Amino acid sequence: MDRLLLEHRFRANLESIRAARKLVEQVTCSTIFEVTLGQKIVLCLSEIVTNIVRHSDPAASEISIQFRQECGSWILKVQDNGELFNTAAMTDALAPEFYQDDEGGRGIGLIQASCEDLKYVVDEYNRNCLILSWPINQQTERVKILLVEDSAPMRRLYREYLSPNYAVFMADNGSKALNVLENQEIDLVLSDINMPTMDGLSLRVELSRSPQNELIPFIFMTASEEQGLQARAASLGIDDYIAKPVSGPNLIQHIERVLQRTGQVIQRLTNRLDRKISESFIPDLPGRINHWNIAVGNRNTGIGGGDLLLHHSAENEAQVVLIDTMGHDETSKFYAYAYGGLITGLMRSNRVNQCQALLEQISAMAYSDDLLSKITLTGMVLNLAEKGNLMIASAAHPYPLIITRDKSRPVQVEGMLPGLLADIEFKPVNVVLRPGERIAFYTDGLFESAADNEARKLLENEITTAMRCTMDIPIDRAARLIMQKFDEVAGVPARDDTTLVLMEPDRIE
Amino acid sequence: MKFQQKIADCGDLIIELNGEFDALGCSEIRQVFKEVATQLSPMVVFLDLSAVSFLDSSGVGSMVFLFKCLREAGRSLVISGVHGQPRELLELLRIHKAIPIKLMEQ
Repeated sequence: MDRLLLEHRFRANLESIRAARKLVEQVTCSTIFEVTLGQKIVLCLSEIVTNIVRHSDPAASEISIQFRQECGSWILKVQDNGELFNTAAMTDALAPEFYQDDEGGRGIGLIQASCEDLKYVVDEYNRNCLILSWPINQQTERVKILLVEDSAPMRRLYREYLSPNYAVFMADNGSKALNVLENQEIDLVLSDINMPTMDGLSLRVELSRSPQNELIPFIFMTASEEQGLQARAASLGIDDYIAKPVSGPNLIQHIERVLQRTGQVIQRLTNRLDRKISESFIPDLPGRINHWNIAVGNRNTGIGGGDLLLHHSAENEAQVVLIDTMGHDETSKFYAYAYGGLITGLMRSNRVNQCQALLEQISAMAYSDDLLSKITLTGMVLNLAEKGNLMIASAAHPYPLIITRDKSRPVQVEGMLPGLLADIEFKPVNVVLRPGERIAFYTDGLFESAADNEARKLLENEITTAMRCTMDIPIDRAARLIMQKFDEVAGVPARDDTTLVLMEPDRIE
Repeated sequence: MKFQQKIADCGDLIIELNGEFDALGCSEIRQVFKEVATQLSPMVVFLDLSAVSFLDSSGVGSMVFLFKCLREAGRSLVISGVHGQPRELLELLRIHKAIPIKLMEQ
């Protein structure tokens, strides 16, 4: 699933590069689960643009950056109009002598060490163009376990046990564990008790003082037979206690039991809230709007995420908005509701607006409003006119697909994440659907609700095949069958909130 | 980048930095580092990075510059309080092989 997330052009000076770096940081924080990967991307950007500003002679006056998700990779593209690079200097290895001078490091070695692939080309306007890429981590969806254990052989052994099922992060004492937790979202902590520097009990106490970390499930494991230790550990509000030695299957059983129990508690709390609020926001549209037939499919995880589907029609025009609020916990749902209220108000107070104008209003609110700026969203606005005419504007949303019986092709409509800058402009794309064609637009869960890259490819392939194979049956049934295929391949319940909208122009028209 | 200088009870100088230690941050702190480097005392200078949220090679270069000046004068530099991304970067560059790093006490 390809999409643009950020596009920004700025003057080549130190103040502007700091602002640009913060933009990239904002984007990576909201789109990349793995914090250290986001930090690497931000660091690479900082090194490149600082290098351009400081060393380019003749100097660059302008730098453009683009950050996107493409073919299973995160891509950062940096272009500048300064002196063309000396490519021979770019082979420097990461070496201590690199930093011999005052602030003199050109950072090339650091960039090479921090990205998976680095390409340099001179673009068609004779500008430097650096393209950096990082693979989208297959483990992003796996349960992340932090293993805290001071004995290196034991760490290796437990990692062996755990790594087939979980993403395993490691620390050899409590202090280092806190550092990992500062940089990485963790789903469960598995900690030894007796360790140097900071023991497991102190680690547990520290975590319970931190509002961000106090609810992370916590398991102690220890070989100590000290009287009272278990009671002291239990008094710290832990989820389980394992006596060492422990076998692999036994360890996994303990972890799964704790995760299941925690999941059930969160689910019960969320359900209570959801029943009251969510029902009024279940993404849906009427089966017909003006000259269009429409069908919607939706799956909901019950926790986190939040898809919004809104519409407004007047005379011969109508507007449909699809929003995906991004987030890792149930609070993102709250923001989805807040946006729902705002967008409904914007749509009703206007006549049917240009699609890009509505996105620009949403983006301006996302930028300036204290509450709404706390969450990242992607969105798409479609203006539905007669005779299969559509105008579409997108803000970092996956490309819609035009489907025929034989193939599906993406509509390359792009725009950056809303709310990153005060005055983002979105470029609309005009699409005309011919008889026998449908358009599908969706939130990213449709193709991304899978455990790894291979499963994602399979899911995307199966769903687009189902879209083509259902072209000859009524659109509402087609949407149902496609979502059935989604359940079959992605599993139930879905890993992410997912909304699919199918539309076709009225054939009688 | 903001900074504050303090003298510890033992006489060591503590420079607390606050902000982003990038090229712009370096330009804001350069004069302070030069002044500290040319003084004759104290013998030990602590660079407290507890409130530094971002570090890149410009910041590292600037610290290495200070470290070298102090070393030539028989003085020493200790980095303290570093955490998060700055700590990751210092570890990647193995800076602790040259400059002692004192991690935050919990």
